[in-house]
Amino acid sequence: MNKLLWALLGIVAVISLLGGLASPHDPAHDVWWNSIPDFFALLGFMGCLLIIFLAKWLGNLFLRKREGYYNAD
Amino acid sequence: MPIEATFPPALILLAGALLLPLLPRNCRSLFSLFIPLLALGLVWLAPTGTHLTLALMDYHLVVYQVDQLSRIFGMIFALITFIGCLFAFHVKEAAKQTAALLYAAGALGVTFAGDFITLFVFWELMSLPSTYLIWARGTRESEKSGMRYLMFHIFGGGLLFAGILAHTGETGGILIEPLTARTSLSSWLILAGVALNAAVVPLHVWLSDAYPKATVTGAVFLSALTTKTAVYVLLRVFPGWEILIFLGVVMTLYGVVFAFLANDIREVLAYHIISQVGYMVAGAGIGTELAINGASAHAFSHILYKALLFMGAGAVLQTTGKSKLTELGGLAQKQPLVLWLYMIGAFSISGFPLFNGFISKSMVIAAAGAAHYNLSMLFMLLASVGTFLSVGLKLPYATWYGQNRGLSPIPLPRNMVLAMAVTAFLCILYGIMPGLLYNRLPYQVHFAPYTFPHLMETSQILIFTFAAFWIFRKEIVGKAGITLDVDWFYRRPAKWVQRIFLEDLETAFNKVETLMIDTAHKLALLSNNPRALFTGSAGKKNYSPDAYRSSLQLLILLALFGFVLISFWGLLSQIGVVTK
Repeated sequence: MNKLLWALLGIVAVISLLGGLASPHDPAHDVWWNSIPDFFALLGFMGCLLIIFLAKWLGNLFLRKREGYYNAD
Repeated sequence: MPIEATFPPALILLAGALLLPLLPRNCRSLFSLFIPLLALGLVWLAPTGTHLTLALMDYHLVVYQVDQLSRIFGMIFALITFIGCLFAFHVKEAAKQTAALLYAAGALGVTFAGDFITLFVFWELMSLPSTYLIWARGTRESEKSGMRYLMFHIFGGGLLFAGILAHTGETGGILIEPLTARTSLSSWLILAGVALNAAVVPLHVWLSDAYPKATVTGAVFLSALTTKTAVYVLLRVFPGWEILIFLGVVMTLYGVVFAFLANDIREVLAYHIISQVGYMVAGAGIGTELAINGASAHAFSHILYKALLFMGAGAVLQTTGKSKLTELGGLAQKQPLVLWLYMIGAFSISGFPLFNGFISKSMVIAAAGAAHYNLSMLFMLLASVGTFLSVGLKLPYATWYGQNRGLSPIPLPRNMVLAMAVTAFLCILYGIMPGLLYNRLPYQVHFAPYTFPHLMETSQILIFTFAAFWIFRKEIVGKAGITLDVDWFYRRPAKWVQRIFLEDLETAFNKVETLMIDTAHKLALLSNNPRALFTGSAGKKNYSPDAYRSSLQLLILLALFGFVLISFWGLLSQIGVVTK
């Protein structure tokens, strides 16, 4: 990606973080994660890592097999 | 007979499917476009109400019944059939075109059925043509996988039919209505039959097994019809069944984890069908007006962007002959149009603002929040992270960027590009103007997707998912191989079952047979010369009666000699008489 796109992405990221802090929470729907500032940035980053490493771990544990594992059937 | 606005669209598709093989080869593709368009027009114009009933023995069948819920599903089914036929315009085999139309006829028939018997007939109508779209690929893998797919659906159909019979026995009625009897076996049988078609985990594995092996064009129809007709039935018959919330949330996460492990691009997309249908199943489980609206809207959006994604992946397969992440790479320069059309689908499924996934997925998640299913809401948000990761980042990164493997794709037929462009346009249109979709939902919509907090939340999730992906992009390169799923439980034991019940059994039979023949042979030897047993004369293996008879040879020799002498004597005296 070129520098312009990176810069644009950086700006949007900052805006979303600031905007997230400024967003009002729906008082009718009070959940624990509302008390964590910019929770959704955290969810995006940590969630992504969680899925990558959970999937890789399960794959290495027993889910991934060579091609042709079932071929004898 | 003039076609009126109340004519059932399923029958139009059925008639079209039967007529199509009789047409000249050149007209078939155009005809296959015209038929779903006609069906779409009929659904569009159909007034709410019951339009066709039939009497079957004592039962009153409601073949064509329209309301807001069925209309939105009917519209998208007819629309996607049109788009699928456009994508397959270059395909001239009548069998494939007929199968696609029959399959769509089944889906529309289910959607507008007012009673369980009609529903079941059209439900079963879907299974064989859809199997054909898998078999038509013509590989050994697709043949076996298609058979597993068919067996699964026959089993599911059996569950559904058993449930319908039990339900009719209990209530005496066949009309489709929300089932409320949570303790009745019939409800659970119907639920299991429908859940199988909705690919609810753990009954999902037919989907991820078979869809990647279908034909390039057939996969578009498959991705749209079977699971979404099942979602429609869940919304219609099981709204508010809490177990569906749990199952739906499990599906959303299960799909993204397995999609991450998959190496075939269409398998990645297939697992994401399971994940996305999870939102709709959860929506049915929540059962509020907002949730039913959300699930219907998400089905509508999902059919469009998932078809677009399958078309993009199919285009890669069609032009390069490859579908494995580990065999693809570096196509961005050679296929920029396919890449960008695919990315519109990827942005949509990931829920980017201005794309149609954003306006529908958020509605289901908001419905979970409004009904205070907070944990479900959180897990669904987490699953959307995984969706962007696999479909929006990993798949395009590995296919079009990543390692350049020197592939040179052949040109794509124009109709395929056009079909993708039409679908991409619709994904953006509904994303920008959600009102077009919201106005047609079953209940009045009190939901605004484009609010400041919602835009900030979504941006944060997407940007920081991308950040994590970018940092760890080296970690996520695909690996050759397959992923085990629940199918292990029947595919792996199949080998043992075959060994125990066929091979081992045959070996045992053969051994017994050899043993018996051997014994018989030995017994026969024993009985060859029973006299030897008593006389003890060894050496003579076989019994010969001559050995025990007095000799007659000499006597016979003498008699013959005498006879010859007498004849000779007689002959000589005759000669003497003649010469005298």
